[in-house]
Amino acid sequence: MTTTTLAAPDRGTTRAQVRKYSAIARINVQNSLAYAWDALGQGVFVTLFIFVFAQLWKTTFKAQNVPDGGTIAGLTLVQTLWYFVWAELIQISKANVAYTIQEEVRDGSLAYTLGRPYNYLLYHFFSGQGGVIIRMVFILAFGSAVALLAVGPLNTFRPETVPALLLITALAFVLDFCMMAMIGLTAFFFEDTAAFRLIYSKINFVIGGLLLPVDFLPDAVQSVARVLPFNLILYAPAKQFVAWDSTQFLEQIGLQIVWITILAGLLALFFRYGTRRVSINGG
Amino acid sequence: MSTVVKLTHLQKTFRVKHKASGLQGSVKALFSTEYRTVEAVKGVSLELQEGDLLAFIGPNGAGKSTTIKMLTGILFPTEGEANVLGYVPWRQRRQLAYHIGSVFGQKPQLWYHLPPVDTFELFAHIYELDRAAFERRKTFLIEALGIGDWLHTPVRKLSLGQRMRCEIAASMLHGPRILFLDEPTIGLDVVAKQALRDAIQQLHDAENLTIFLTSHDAGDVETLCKRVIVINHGQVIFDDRTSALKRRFLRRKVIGVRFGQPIPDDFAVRDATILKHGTWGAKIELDTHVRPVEDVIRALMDYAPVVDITVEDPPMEEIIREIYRADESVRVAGVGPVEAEIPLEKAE
Repeated sequence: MTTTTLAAPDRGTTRAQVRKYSAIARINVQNSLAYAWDALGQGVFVTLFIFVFAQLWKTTFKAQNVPDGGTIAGLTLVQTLWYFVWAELIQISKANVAYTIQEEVRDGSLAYTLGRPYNYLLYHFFSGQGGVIIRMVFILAFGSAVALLAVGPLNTFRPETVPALLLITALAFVLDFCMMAMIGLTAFFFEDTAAFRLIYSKINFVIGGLLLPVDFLPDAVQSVARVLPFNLILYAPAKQFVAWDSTQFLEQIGLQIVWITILAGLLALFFRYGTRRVSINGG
Repeated sequence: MSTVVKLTHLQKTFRVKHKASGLQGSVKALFSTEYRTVEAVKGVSLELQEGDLLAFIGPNGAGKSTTIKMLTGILFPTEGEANVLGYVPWRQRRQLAYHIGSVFGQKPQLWYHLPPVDTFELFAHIYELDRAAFERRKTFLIEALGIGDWLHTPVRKLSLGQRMRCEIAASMLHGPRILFLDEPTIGLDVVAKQALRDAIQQLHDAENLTIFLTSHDAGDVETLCKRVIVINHGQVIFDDRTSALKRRFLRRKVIGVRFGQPIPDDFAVRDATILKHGTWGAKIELDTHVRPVEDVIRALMDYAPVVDITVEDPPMEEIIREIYRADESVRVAGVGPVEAEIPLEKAE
């Protein structure tokens, strides 16, 4: 029995490609379920995080003599805490594809993942997103529970914006993937990506909106942060979640698409160049 | 028979960072990085016909895996050409992937926490297989490899031998015309090794499958392959029928025996050398051309009740040394052309 007789009649069509990448995402969901305790652990970790943030921001708002319902840089205490719930949801759920690619190069399993009939970068994108879904469920459940207990419900949340929020969040994951995959591909040349990963995570922390919403940063830093793509990964979706603004939303979505187009192009070029340089450990 | 693989002067060099030892070396490396060039594969040329079962053997670091990775399109060569089933592997990697399968013995491709059947399902989609044909194919492989009992057990719970058989099934699901097996028996015990060899033979016979097998286990070669290529320091140093290798270089066997009673100090076996002598047993080396293994085993059984007995091949490193020695003697005697000067010391 040869490949010709085994091939599906629609091999090579868009439908077959959709089935292929869905199956890749699906097996990662299955694998994440086998690691359900790990996802649960991350949920517990978020509980601690949000609890600490709640204490910190309650103290900050009090120290600034902000009255009940008052704001700092346009956000109330409730909005600030719920902002961190959404920002942490993205930060902790997102796939660490840079590390995954690095390990493939190190342990030689790249010999399998690179040698299959799919687009290597799309394979990693869908692999990563499979695990994201399970982690998101746990983190959102735990994070929301603590935020509810600490500051109460987010009254500014508008349920009709859920599809838009999901879109901006999904694009944030795509943008993050482009950057992480770029870092991962450096493993084709340097083997170790730890330094690049550290720099990227610190940038996200400081000007990406993980430490503080970008609005809270000094004006000079804000102006830099807003032109760079990093704020579109954590800040933009989290801010829209707590303070919906349709004009800003359209602007952010547009910027996300522009950056994704640029980075995906660069990523494809980098991949083409990298595969010529790859050297695999073991054997 | 058609040619399915053709390599012409294939070469691969890697640039490897070189750092002097100690703290001083580490500090120096911060300011200036030195590289050295390692020639992993040095001008390998070979052809494979459809249905060949080729052993591509050599010690660790000989260039076997690098060659396989170039043949499967994972690595770009530094120089040379390759044609696998009409494709240039590194330029048409994705098209070629539908027609070849590979198993790397030291690297799992099955999802560790999931049962093998889940990986099979995934591969059905990745290789875009027809549903009914896939089911038939799966049934055939389950039977041929005897993996029915472990299909729904998480891979982490399988023994290495069980896992390897499932790995081979996974690589065969899409009906490849060439199967690259890189050290498939590594780490397996004697029984599991034999079971795997039987399964490989069965698949080869059933489908006229071309198999490119790398190993540093001489037993794999003896049992499975008709043709053998020995590679060392990236160069082909032997390319002939396995029977020729056996006749010339696989003559030596080591028999380990343990008796049910103590043996005397002057214990000896005719036409064999005692390598190690203990109270209850011994290690015996023999040249099978002088005295066959069966003959020695029979003599040992007659001597005293045997509790345990093993027959071992010489390690691959020793076979390589033998081939070098033979090559040197040819060169000294001035008989026949010698293509290249083969260094006796390690290249790295």
